[in-house]
Amino acid sequence: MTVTRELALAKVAGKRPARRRFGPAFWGGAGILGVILILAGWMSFWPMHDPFAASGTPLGGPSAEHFLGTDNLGRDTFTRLALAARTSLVISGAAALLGAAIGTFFGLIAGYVGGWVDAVIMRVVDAILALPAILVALVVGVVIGNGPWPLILALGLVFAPGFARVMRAPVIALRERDFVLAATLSGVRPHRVIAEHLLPNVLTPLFVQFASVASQVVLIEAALSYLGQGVQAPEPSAGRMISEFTRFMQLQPLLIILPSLVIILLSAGWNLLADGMQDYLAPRREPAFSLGGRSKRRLPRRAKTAASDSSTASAHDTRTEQSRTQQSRTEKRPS
Amino acid sequence: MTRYIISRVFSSLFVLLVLSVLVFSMVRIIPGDPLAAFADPANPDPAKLDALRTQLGLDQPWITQYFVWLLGVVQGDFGRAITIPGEVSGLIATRLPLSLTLAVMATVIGTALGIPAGVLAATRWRRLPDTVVRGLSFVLLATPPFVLGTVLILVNSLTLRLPLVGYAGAANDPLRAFGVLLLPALLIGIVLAAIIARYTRGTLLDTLGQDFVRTARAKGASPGRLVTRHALRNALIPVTTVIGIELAALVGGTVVIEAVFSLPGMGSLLLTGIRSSDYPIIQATVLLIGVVYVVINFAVDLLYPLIDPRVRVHAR
Repeated sequence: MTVTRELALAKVAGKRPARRRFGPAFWGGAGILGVILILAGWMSFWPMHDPFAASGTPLGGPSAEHFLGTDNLGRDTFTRLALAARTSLVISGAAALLGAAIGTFFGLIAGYVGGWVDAVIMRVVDAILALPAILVALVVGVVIGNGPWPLILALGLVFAPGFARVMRAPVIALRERDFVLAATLSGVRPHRVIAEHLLPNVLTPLFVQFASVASQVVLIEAALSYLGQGVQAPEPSAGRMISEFTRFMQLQPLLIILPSLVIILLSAGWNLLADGMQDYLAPRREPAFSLGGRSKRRLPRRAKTAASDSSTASAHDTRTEQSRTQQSRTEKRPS
Repeated sequence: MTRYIISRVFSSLFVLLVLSVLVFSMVRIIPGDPLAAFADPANPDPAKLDALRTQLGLDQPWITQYFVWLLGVVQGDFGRAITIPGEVSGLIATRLPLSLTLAVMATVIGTALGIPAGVLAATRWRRLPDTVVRGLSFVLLATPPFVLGTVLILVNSLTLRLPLVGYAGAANDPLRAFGVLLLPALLIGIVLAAIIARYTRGTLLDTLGQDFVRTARAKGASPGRLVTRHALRNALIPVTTVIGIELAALVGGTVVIEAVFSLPGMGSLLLTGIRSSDYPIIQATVLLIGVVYVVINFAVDLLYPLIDPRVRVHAR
């Protein structure tokens, strides 16, 4: 949608439109996740040490052989952390994917069909969203057991309503658009209208929501494992490491700092990815002015660019902004 | 206006009904017998257990159990806890105040830090304050609160040794209770501040990019006045929704911080209930947390027309 606006803008200015690129946020996020993925894959196929058996002195510091030290049982921290990061990455990606699949399905149906179907789906969504994600994950986790796969299922179910809400809003706007009406009137079956005409047009908020949910899943998985309800021993998990190694903090602080860093990096990586995609897909308009320092001198130029910006702003543009506010409204579920 | 309120009331009531069904059925699917704690593993006495089951109404069909439970809940009676002595309503009455206090304290801290930070970042777009606020909120958003909590407790145990853990109830010593709650509230508060700052920055930037702001600027309004009088009022409307949602979610969402600081709040009560599969406790806590959420959202919906005159016009 914004592509049209940029084309129009470039036309007015008499220039070829600049090619849009992903910004540093996107590449930063992708880079962090990529490096973690490579390290984790490397450690799970060719581990430096057996992650489940002692290979050095307990609570050892960094050395040539164990360059992140060892834990209280003498197991290599680096190998175990890489495995924990892998588990966390897989769980976050898979749970977000599951939530996206379920949520998109119901969101598209609710938005397209409307009426009482919409009302019922959205009330159920409201009801689930009324419970903090971590509580639902706790209760659902108890129902279907612990371990990575039940966790994926539980967290996928928890985050599906958010996806449904994010998908529904743009579909309602799209439903009235000419191309959708034309398809419907020319006898295209509803499921094909949804799959071929609506879905491709709501992929923007879908991707952003996906990455932002994945970052929340990382945090919730860590919290569940911290409470002893997530990934179970002996499988390494960053959250459980923190709760287990609190006792050894004064002897070997690395055992607390490193798992924390892994969680922060993973969550921030997904978050950066979401931000980067958001900026790429719906760039923000510059503010009309800026306070402080140099703003006074730069004001004329800024005002001018902003003015040409707004004169060509179209109806499409408001919709992407709308979907952005929708998205950020539902995306936040504190743990 | 009345129609707006009535429609909000009905919608909220319906959500509550769906919520009660959800909570009830969720709990029934949990494997594990709530009476396991009463059975003597060496010498199980089925007759005695059956009698207990009948007494607790657990032998009834689920649908009957649901309506009996719902009828009680409406009257403020959540039944008896199975594994802990006492009425569930009594247990909750001792724990809800703590959770509410914690949530309100955290929200106040989060708002007090978050909104100014967000305004600072938005008005100094792409300059140093913006970068600092964005970077900080980014790291805070990615940091689990229990990491902050663990590190803080340990650092404190090595240095200052302030009495941080050990909540003894607000009745005996309100000042000490407040002190004990301050640190957990601060931890949740700064994470919340990160969320609020990000959101405020986003909406304020969107507002500052709008035509009416430029018009006002062209007519000679000073930037400071523009932000405080023109832009902020518009930008903060969606922020209030977010703050409301966060406050509501915090009432039950503090399980982890409660575990770190061993606070007897709603979250830890739920955790106890889950670990012993104590149906009444789980049902009551989860439902109550949901109810708090719905009620706060309802209140925010009612506040909306007061803050934003446009809603008032449309809602008529």
